[in-house]
Amino acid sequence: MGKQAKKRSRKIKVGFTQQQWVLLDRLKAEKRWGGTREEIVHNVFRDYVKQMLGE
Amino acid sequence: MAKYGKQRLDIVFQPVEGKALPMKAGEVLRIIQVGNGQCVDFNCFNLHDYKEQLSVGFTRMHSFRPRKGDFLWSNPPRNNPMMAIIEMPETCLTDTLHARCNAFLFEDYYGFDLHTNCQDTFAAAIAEFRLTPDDVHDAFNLWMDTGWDDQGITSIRRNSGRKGDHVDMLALMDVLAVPIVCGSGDVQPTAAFFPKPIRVQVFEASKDTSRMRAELTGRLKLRNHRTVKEFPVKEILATRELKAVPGFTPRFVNYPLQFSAVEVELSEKEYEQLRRLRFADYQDDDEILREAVMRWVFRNRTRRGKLKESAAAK
Repeated sequence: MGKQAKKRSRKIKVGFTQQQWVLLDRLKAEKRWGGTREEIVHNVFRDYVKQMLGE
Repeated sequence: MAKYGKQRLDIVFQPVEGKALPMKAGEVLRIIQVGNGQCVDFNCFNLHDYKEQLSVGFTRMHSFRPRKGDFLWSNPPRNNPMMAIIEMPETCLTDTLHARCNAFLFEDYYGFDLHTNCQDTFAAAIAEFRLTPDDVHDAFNLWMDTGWDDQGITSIRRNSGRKGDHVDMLALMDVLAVPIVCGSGDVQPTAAFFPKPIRVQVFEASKDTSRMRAELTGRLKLRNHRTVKEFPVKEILATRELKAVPGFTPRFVNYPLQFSAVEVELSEKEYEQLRRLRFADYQDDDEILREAVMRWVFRNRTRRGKLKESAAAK
């Protein structure tokens, strides 16, 4: 039996303006989006996918 | 319904008259249809600083068709609510698209040497206060039913106003209110091809209207209502010709924009979803990710702030 192929992840470096960070950093106070900027960007992306693609 | 103060003015404007009416904060302007369906154009200035005036463009950001419960806003960066629409019948449709008719249009459309028009009526009315034809601004139009099609072509439908209809607007600051009878009515559906008079009344402030004014203006205050004190240039230019200031350096807001990046690790499935989201064919992965995140913010965390509150007050 062959070894199962490892799922490949991708690292994406993404920039935001200081004004965009003002809006994103506010989400820290809501707790559910994470405590770091990386977590917030990732979780917001996931929620957008859920809203738009229903997945 | 709020009780108004004593009626202090009652005038009938014949086609195509108008008048600039100084009004104190808390007073109410009533505009009445004398016949069935006459478009009324409206200009408005801060009585103590004419450079602050009704911005149809900013008002339009709230609604293409301001109606009862909406506000007439002044020009950015002032952004003050100048008047509140406190009574308006369903038969009064309003327009923020058509600016104001003018002599040029009627020459262009019909070959008139000179046809009655709102630009010239406004100019004639505000001259009483030494304002020039250049000071006439785009009009907020009452009883004017406009629209546009998918190609962006605008149209005017037949006036739906009825005899006896009235609109009441509460002054939220001291204003120069300028209602006029639209000059296009005999050749356009704005007055169903027959211009009619309108009646204009002003009611003094009462306890009710003063309270309403205080409540509304208090609720609509934000940090970014700029005053002349905050302007980089405070004096009004007194010459017609424009000349650059030698060595001038503009001061832009939050300039230059600062960018900082984070690295996000997407699973294979998430990466496949990211690619499916691609909003334009030229986008790299980071551009898709940024746009998705900011679209989420736009969709889920835009307050529309005070404008939304205003709408909620209907």
